[in-house]
Amino acid sequence: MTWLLPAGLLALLALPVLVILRLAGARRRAHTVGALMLWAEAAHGLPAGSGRRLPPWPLLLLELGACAALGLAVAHPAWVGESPALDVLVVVDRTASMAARGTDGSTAWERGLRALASAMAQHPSATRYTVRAVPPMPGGVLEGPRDAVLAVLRASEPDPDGSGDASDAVGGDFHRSLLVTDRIPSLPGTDRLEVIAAGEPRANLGIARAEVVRAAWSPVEPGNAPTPAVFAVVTNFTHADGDISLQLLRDGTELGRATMQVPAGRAAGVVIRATGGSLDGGVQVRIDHQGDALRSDDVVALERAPSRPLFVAWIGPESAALARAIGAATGRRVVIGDADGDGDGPDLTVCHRTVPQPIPAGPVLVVDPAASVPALHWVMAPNAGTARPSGPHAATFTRLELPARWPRATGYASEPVPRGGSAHATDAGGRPVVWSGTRLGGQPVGVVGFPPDGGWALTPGYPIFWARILGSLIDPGTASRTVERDPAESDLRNAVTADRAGGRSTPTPVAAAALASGRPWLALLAIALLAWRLRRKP
Amino acid sequence: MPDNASLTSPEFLRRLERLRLLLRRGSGGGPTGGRVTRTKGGVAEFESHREYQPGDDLRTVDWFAYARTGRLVVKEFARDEVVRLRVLLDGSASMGATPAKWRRAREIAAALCALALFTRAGTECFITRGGRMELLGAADAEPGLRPLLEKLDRCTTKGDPAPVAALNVARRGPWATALVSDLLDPADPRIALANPVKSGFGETMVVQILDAEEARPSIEGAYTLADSENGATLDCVVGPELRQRYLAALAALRERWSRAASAGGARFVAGTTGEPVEAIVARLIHPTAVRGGGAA
Repeated sequence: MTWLLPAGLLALLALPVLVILRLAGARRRAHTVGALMLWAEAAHGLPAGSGRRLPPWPLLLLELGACAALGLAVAHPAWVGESPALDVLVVVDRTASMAARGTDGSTAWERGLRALASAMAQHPSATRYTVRAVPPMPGGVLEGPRDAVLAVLRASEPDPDGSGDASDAVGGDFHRSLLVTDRIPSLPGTDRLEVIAAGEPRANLGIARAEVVRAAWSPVEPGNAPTPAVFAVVTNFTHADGDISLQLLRDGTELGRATMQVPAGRAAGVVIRATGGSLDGGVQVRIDHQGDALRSDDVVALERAPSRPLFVAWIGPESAALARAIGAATGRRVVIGDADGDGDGPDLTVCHRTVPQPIPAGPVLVVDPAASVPALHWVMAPNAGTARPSGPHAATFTRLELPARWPRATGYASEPVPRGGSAHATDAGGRPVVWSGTRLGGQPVGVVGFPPDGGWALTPGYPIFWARILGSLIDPGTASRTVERDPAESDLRNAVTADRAGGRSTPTPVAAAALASGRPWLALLAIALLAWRLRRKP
Repeated sequence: MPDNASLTSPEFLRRLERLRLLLRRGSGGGPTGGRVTRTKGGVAEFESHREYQPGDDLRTVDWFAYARTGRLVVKEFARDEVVRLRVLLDGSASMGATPAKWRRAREIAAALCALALFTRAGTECFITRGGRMELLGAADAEPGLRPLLEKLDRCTTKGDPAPVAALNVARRGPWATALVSDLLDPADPRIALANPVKSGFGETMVVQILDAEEARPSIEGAYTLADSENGATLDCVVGPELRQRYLAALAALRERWSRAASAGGARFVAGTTGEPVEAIVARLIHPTAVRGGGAA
């Protein structure tokens, strides 16, 4: 047996208090009367000690028993022995990103299964597991004991075309749930849901949401107009608690500042008051994690009014993750479809694995994770830190060929691509990510390629990466996010960008699990019992 | 009134003044009324004039003399016999068990003295404590009331009780006697009240005054009870049963005094600190007018 809330055992301190109270109450008190004549006559013939309605010690034992039971209940005892009653749900992420290899050569899937086996070893041997996979495994839902479940999972592999959010599969009447994923789940961790992070541990913080606080929420100071303020939610994807500071900037001038602590793996929100001026003209929110050497970890630009939607024409398999990344990067609501949004043509054409012929008008983004497009041609400078495109410059596209050993390069494309084309490459933890851009007659075209054996980066986990590219393609020179760190090394997430782009707000699950862990009503009951005991007439 | 308020305070003096109303009810005529009634037989004899003083009965003003001289004078008559009220205040330590009890006892004594003076009878007040009787003061007219109240104000309690013995001594004579005591005395009340009035003893009144807690105890639990008079202690556990037996003992004590009083032609009234002094005195003066007034 163990205690889920050991601090609750402090309630047992009430036991000696009860004993002391009883001893104090049992002591004979002195009372002066005018004359003993009547009392002596009344007490004559009565046995000593008679007259009590209840014997004191059985009553004390009853009180001690009730108090001890209450204290033990507050401590929330739990039996973790060979209890046969545990039903555990295991949700495994089988999306393509789980096949990404880390620095140690193992995939996220393999790391996740190892962590899962360790977690399952803590359960009673009679525990029964129900396994749900996203996307589902060929055999459907898997049920069985630990060894059988692990054997089946080890024989499985991630789906190279799979996508989806494994968090959506969590639910049901189970004692506990285990979620194995390389993504930050949309569900907060609780005492009944354990998230097994299969991704590589990285350290960074990201602004999940930032919005201008409505006037009614602004602090009002006497004699002054309401101070404009910005509400920012920061998600800590590191493995340690982070002390962060947030700056509210307009044109490089600080309007306000706030600090807070964000627990590891959790999100926290804070209101930054713009005491230095108004928010007119748009502002930036910049966060800086005190624990690293970076000047800032993330920056979000806020506009006073939502801009028109971004109409994106999608050619090839549509990626919801990439669509969210585009929304996060541009700060605009993304409308995906073939038709023109407003008759002026799409704002962006995303070609996913497919090269359109002829080339659409307007900015074009080609995403080619397989490097299977014959028209693409890419020649790598053998020892250069920076790759340069070569081949038919007249061609619209640049072929991407990734050698087995990618030469390490530093830097990141941050400038608009000049006419004539250039390319920059980076090596992020063994996962090369290349972005190339060119302009032909003022039409920006970008190509993003990934090594065939590498992981996909087409997730909202790379908003800054996409912000760079999309900022150059759609609105050159006004990238909405900047970062001091290679985004591939970061683990930034932007969970509610679609809501931000649409001008809506969503509740932030800040420290929800912390509230769920306590049993405040039991503590209140114990205090009430003690207070009642103290108030009793001696 | 607070327990430490003076008996000469204007408020208490006003309350004493209002006691005159009691004299107009019934036929008793005051604590000495019974005695006067039994000895009446003719017109009182004029003795002298004196200056009118505030508080004098307007019926005694000699209006003819006023018409002649322009001065207010009252007529004084020689009484048929000396009628006095002797108030005996029990000053034993048990009377000071609570300030309220001692306060109420002195108020009753003061009220009886005042009533005697209001009926133009003389009064004298004794306090019994430590086995001795001490004369606190005497007055033959209302102006003498205030010095008597001042002495009552200053007196304290001490010593063992001896109300029965004191009453036995004090009531020998042609005067009325009133005892104010808690009667927590094991002596037989018949010792003091056995001789009836007609055998030469004056009319006798007994007022038992108890603290409200003494009349109906509320304590509960294990106690060491200490006697305020001699320091004796009694270990007991006060519960419903003991309280019931205490009340029975108290009722028996009152019954003994009531029977003794009836046999001796005396009046007995029991009161507590929960009652105003006017109510207790009213039961004493008009025992038949106030039903259920506590006379056991």
